[in-house]
Amino acid sequence: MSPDIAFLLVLAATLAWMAIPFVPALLELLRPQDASPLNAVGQDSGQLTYFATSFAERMKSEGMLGTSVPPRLTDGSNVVVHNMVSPVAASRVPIADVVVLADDTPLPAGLHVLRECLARRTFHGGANSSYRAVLGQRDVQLAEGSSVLRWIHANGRLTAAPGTRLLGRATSDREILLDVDVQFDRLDAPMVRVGGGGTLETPILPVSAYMPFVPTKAVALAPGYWRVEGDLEIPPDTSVAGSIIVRGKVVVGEGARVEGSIKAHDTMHIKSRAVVIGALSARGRIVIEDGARLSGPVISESSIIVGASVIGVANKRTTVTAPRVQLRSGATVYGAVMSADGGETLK
Amino acid sequence: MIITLANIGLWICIAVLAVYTLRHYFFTLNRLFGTHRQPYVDVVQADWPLLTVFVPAHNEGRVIRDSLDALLSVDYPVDKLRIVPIDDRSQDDTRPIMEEYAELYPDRIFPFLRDDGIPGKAAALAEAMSDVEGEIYMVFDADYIPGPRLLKQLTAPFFDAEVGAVMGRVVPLNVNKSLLTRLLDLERAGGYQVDQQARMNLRLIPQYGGTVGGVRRIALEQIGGWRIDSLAEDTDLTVRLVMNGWDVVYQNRSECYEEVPETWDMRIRQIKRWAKGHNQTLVRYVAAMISNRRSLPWWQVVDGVLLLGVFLVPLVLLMGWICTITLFYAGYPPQWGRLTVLAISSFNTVGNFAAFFQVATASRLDGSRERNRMLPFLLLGFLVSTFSVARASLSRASWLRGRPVEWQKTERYRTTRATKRPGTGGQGNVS
Repeated sequence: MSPDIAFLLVLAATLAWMAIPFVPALLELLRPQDASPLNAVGQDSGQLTYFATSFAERMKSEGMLGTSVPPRLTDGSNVVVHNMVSPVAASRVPIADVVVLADDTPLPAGLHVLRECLARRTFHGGANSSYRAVLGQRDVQLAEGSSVLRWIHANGRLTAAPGTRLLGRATSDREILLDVDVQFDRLDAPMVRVGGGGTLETPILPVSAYMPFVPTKAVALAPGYWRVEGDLEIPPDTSVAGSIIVRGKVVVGEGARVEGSIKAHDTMHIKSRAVVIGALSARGRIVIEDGARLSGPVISESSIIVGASVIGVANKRTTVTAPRVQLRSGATVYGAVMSADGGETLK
Repeated sequence: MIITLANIGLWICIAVLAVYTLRHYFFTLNRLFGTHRQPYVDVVQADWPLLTVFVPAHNEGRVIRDSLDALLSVDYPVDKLRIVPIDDRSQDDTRPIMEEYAELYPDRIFPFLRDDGIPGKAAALAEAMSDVEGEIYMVFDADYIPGPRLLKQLTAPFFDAEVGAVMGRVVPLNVNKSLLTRLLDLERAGGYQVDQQARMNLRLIPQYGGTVGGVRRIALEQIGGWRIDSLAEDTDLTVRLVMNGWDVVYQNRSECYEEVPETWDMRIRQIKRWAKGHNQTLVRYVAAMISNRRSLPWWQVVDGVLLLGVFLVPLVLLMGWICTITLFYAGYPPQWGRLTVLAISSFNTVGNFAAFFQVATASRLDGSRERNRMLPFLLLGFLVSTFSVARASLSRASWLRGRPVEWQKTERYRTTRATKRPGTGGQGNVS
């Protein structure tokens, strides 16, 4: 074989080898399989009641809110009606149908519902039951050991007994009352409260009632914004005006008041009776002691522990968000509690 | 002499390219195996601050209605939101459209109309911002269509007192128009899903992109406002904020649709403009960044310098190729022969394909694997970008300072409405 022919053969083989990836590329170009805009602008993110609202609209259009309940949905799914006349029997076999609770009759214990439940009146769940999703048109009461796998929404009050697991979204138009030992992911209601006891609501005194405090190591970042190198401890019963960015740990002393937001590169500790009229954010853990009062939001990249304190205001809802959130008995949050890796309530 | 220079030049090029290659791979591996950092994405309830949204426009009659309609449909509290479309001496029907909307929504839309002064987006923004209130300023280009939750998502990071600017993700809308739009779709995915988010994860410097993002008013004022003499006022702003102690945050879940260029001519002009603007910023700030008088963490300094120099990489790549060819045809083996051959092979294979790896990873993370079939065609986009950016980097405009700029626009292609006006009923169709 002459060198020229050998060269051409090697060249052709190389080009052919290089062309292999272009075959699927050309096919995709000529007959596109995946050429629509990325479905990125989601409607459900940020609106925790999205699925509940969609389900409610569907139930309405399917006639599930009328005087007689149709036996099946338009997609062929069967509907089981639970009421005083024909209650759902206790069974170990999971229910694969949509359940409509027509009256206040409690569900039996140990029930496992693989589809959505629609409660037209107050929902009384049985102990140790699991539900895929629950929509309550009035109050919803989950008994001990219950699990909700996707979402739950109550147009009235949502209460969860000890041992309840609220996976996914739990929302209420009125309030969410959690007992201790409840696990949750995302909660949203005008008020979320843990335990039956009250919450110590620290009165917010006028600024003149506090001794002014200016951090000695603070550098003005902009008008009303201070940056502090290292750690910062705000002394008890003093007040700070302005937002503070701390490149270390922050302790807000007992009864201190901050009129602005606080950012910590490390952990943050809000002591008893402290008041923060602003947001808290920290890369480390945030601990909020009993009797503290915050307007929020409270954001941590690690974890948040909320004692018997108040976060948010009744007419100005806020958010507590961290990978891990612990709400202790007496904690009150006006708004949302978001825990990506799981939250829990404790004594 | 030439051989020595070529040798030295080659090693410099290889060193620079090796650093950027490692950066690409590091970012990509971070996105594949690292922790996804998005601390603000779950802030859904808050006492939202007063927000002003600016929509700078110059001859945007084809698209501005969609943008205004989308902004009117967002879930941000009406009493906390002001929409300020800015018309800078348009010759089409942009201004009448703005006036029509202002009449229909007098409490929500407040047009800012310019007939004189220095032209250009930065100058228009600077003038409009001096005229309005608000704690947070957000900017959307006129062809952008924000989703209903976007403003809250982009505002949430500002509850962190250290955040000076926020950037959302840009998603191409006209993907299926041509080969170019499909390639740009891939490039955008790589740039946002991997590059920006990795910098967010690693606490480096995510870049504010001048649109689909916002800035804290007080931070903007503290750093001296918008620079009107920069072709890349967004990069300029990013660097100044970071050097003054503010954080720039990227929100990957805050997505917004945009139109990407559909013709190569437009694409080349766009990328040349970016290159010139970026290089201007490099000249302005690289020394200050390295001297680090503001005590930035060292990793932010390194990332900042690499970010500023990113549009010089194609030039370095071309220089590396020229040095290689020169040495080869001059018949001289390079110094440290085998090592050099290995280095050249590395940057021509592994190095050049780092960006492809990044794009492929982005598509995978987006859950759209079929798009990855188009990856081989990225070679075309890569070559066009390399030569265009290198050419732009060699132009005088890349290194000029203190010259006010004019409107630099990308042509709009939309022919039908993408959204419906709020209150007119029906779901908007995305054309």
